[in-house]
Amino acid sequence: MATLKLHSLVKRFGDVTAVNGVDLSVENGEFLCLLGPSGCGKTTALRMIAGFENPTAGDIFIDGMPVTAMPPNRRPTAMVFQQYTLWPHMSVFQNIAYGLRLRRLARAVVEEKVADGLDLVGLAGYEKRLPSQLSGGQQQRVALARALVLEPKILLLDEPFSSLDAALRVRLREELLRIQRQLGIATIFVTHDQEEALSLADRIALMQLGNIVQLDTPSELYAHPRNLFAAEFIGAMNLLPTHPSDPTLGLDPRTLSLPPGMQGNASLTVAIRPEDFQVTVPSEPGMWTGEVEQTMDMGHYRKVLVTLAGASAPVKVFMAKSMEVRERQTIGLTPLRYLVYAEESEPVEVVPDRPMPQA
Amino acid sequence: MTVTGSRGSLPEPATYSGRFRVPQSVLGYALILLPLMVMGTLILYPAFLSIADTVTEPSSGGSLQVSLADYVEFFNTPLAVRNLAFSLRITAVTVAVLFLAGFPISLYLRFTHGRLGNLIQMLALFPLFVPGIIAAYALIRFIGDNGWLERFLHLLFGYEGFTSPYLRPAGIVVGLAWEGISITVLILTAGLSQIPDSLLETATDVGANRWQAFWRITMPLMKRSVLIVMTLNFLTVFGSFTIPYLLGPASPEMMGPYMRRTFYDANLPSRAQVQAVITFLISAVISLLYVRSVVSQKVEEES
Ligand SMILES: Nc1ncnc2c1ncn2[C@@H]1O[C@H](COP(=O)(O)OP(=O)(O)O)[C@@H](O)[C@H]1O
Ligand SMILES: [Mg+2]
Repeated sequence: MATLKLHSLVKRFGDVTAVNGVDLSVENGEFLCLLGPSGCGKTTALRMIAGFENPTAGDIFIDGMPVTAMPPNRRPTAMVFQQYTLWPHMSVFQNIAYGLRLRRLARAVVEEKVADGLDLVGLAGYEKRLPSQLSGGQQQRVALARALVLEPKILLLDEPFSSLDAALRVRLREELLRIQRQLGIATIFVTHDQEEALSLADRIALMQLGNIVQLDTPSELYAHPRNLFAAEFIGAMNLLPTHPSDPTLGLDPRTLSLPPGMQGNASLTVAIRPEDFQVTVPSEPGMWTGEVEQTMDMGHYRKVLVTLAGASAPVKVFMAKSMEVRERQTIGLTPLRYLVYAEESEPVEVVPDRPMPQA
Repeated sequence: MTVTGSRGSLPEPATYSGRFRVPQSVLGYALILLPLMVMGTLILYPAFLSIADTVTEPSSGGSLQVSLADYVEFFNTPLAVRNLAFSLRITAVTVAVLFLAGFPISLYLRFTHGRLGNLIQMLALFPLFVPGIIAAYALIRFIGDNGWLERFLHLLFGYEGFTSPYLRPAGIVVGLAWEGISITVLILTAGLSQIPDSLLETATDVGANRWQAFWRITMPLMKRSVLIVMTLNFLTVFGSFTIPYLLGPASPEMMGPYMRRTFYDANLPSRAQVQAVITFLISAVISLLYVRSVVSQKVEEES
């Protein structure tokens, strides 16, 4: 049975609809990321689950029990905020112990649980410190321990690492994932960072303007973004317009293998991942040719911006560093795989060497 | 050294180009010299003379000798002791009333947003813009015998048992509370707005109800603001003059009116001086306690 179920959840603030009819279920032990640009309603959705906001409409179930009307202090959820999480006048021990003491546990039990919690987040021995004596990363770990010692059914995190520097963020991510797997606790993690979501989640719920536009595993979301918003938001993507009815606008449709069902459309968008190009020097017939505008060394690969006839912006291409390219050089590009988006319909995946699917 | 390029042509800052360099610290002292001199000649020096005056007396040989006789006399005068105790009592009650009235208002202002909140905030700040003497006369019309309050009570409820606090100790408390409510609400609201919502939400998240969150999170974090408000209110109330003079009883009276009466009506300037020094010392002790507790809180946070 699903641990959490959201049913047509809506939240309005005056004229602003922050969450616009969200349906979602989170399974036992699942790590789900709520991903989307700033202002799309992620925090509001999470706060409704925690009980800090009352939904305008819809229902929330935890373990099959309706909790929509339950105040936050009685819900089996625990939340970690982005910042200002620890009570500054309490020691680390007191911070973690507070929730346990409210549950009237014996002193020895409290002490044991606090020690276990600190162990789990790698901060054993920090009991006596005040929050002001901890680094940002340590503070977030204590906040995590404070949430976990209460053994909640659902762990909620609202961009918990976004105010930390990049290296620390990556380390804490890995640590969080280890802890989540170890405890097998259902987790909802809010982030606007697609890379963070891709690296953490079992499933990602991609949000836009208060709606979930796609709910999929990271690899599915990356391989088959359901609409142009998802295509652009997840990973790097080239979005190239083409017009079957007028080859002079945009990408020349005759160079593409368009799905049969889409050839009558007035306008389409071709989405190609930068790593899905085959680069050839010199150019060969049947491919696109373009001029290298800029090359960037990205460490283990090379990023190249290529000016392409019909493309309004330079095309991003990721290529192996074994191949040399210079700026101003003309190269050939062959897309190995791309998605074609028509308005208001599911995209069609095209792999030129494979038989065309029916749209 | 050769300097090339446009950098070499930049003029150096005037202060460093001459033979004399004015150290920063000297400049700083020069800037505060004038106010320091004014304070020294007009306040500190006369104050020092007065204090010196109260602890000395002429000896038989004509020279001055140290003597606490004036203070012994003060504490042996029943009226003086009574007035001092009265002042302390009124001050304690007013400080408590201000806190008990101001804190709920501040809490309301911090945790609600809307028209009513704005209105209450304006009302709370209003006394700040009314001169004390005007407020005092307005209050006399309001709470005095046959004042508006008495007439309201009579008209609305047929209540006849009203006794006016005017010229009673309660009158002073009402007047001083009116005067002090603005600054009380301002400081407490500022203190409350320093507490991020997330700290209180986290508390409810781990299982605290509102009441528990208030006592365990809000109150401890408000400790310093409360201390500031209490100290400030103590100092202004204890040394106040206008309100107790206009609204209070003739006897016992607070130190402000008492000093004035001793000085002018009884024409005993040296006794008024002793009263002033005692008033000053009590205020100084309270300020000192405040400073010490703030410093110890800081040390606690940093250790
Ligand atoms: N308390 C609030 N009052 C009014 N509008 C709000 C409130 N909280 C959020 N909003 C609005 O709701 C929308 C979604 O906000 P939020 O859930 O914080 O987005 P996200 O976390 O995805 O950045 C935004 O337009 C925001 O301005
Ligand atoms: Mg947010």
